[in-house]
Amino acid sequence: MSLPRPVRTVLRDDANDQAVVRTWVRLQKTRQASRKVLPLAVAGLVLAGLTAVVCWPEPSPAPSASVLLARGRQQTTTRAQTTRVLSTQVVADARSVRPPPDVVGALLDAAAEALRTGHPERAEALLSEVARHHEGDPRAPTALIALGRIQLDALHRPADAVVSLTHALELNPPEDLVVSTWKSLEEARRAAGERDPGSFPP
Amino acid sequence: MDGQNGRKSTVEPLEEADDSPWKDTVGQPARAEVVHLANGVETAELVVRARAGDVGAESLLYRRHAGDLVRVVTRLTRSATAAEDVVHDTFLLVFERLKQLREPHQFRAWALSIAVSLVRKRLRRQKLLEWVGLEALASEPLEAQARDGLSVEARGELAVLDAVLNRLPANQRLAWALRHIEGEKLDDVALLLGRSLATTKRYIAAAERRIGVHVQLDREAP
Repeated sequence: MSLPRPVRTVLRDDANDQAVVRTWVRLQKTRQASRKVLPLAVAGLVLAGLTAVVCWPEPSPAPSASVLLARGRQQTTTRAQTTRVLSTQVVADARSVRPPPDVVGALLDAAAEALRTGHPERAEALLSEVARHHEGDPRAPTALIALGRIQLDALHRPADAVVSLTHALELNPPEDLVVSTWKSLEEARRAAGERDPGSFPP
Repeated sequence: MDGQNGRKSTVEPLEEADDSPWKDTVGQPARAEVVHLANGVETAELVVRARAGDVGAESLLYRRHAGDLVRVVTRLTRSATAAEDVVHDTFLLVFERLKQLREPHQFRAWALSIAVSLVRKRLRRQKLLEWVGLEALASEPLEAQARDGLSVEARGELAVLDAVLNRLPANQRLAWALRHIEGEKLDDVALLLGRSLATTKRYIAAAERRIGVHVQLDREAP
């Protein structure tokens, strides 16, 4: 028995209209969000600069030279800090709606490579980075699940694995990983010496 | 302008109802005049109009190519959910980078190359789960995508092929699937993967050595 070339001739070729429409609606929403936030971000950046430059109060008259110098240094620092904080927030907001660069993807790739070459500690550090700084990314639960398994199996730190896997479940992991994640959590709790590790379904 | 290029179309105008999902929901005024476009408008013309800000042209480009992309990506990822995510991200990048497309008539190949690159990223991430023993299940393995009425034996072959493909490195798997499942020409596979022809041939040959042990394909037409 052999399959024909190309193999797709024996596969369904019907268009999944619902998937196409669903994806279009989602696409429009994503683009709408980015179009709203980016001009706001630019306006916010300008406003932050203007506020820092224009609205800062003048010092009271007739202080001594040393007082003026000290106050000037303090004001310059505070003004710069304010501008920097506001600018950072605005830029962060603007960045959050832009898809590339795929930092999380690069971290996951590097973690897989670290595991392949037998460096679970490095993989742990990379996956922790995803959990710490990219919690909103849809791949964060997957990273936490992998992190939990590494802490449990390779690093033998079940207590840390319990924390990672619990965190993963709080972030709504992919449906096909929910059961195995609960089982991993149960296993980690047992290994950590918990009396009542619970069971799935909870 | 005639109806062929869609500027003042009277042929099958695309009239959208207010609640139509195809209607632009962004609410951003288009930079170019938005007109009804005929279904027969060339893709290259749609690309030019979409670049100028015509949201109707964007919608038509999506409608014309999204179904095809969903099908191809579902076969490559073996997951309908993943396919939707990939097609969403693909069109997000497509509309963002449309001005970078030098040859508008190559739109399909260009969009597909973006999708293939996103699929490759996904497949690599999947490896991470495999390393920790948590392989996510494919919701649409090849045998589940078989046409109605396909013999039990052929379905069995598809299941074996699916399992072997899943064990291959991402580049080999994609190269082989684009060549022998999708039926793309070798040159096109190289373009879609962003690799040289020689490297692409090497990927396919390496995949063939492992697949050939388990599954036979009909002889290639000369």
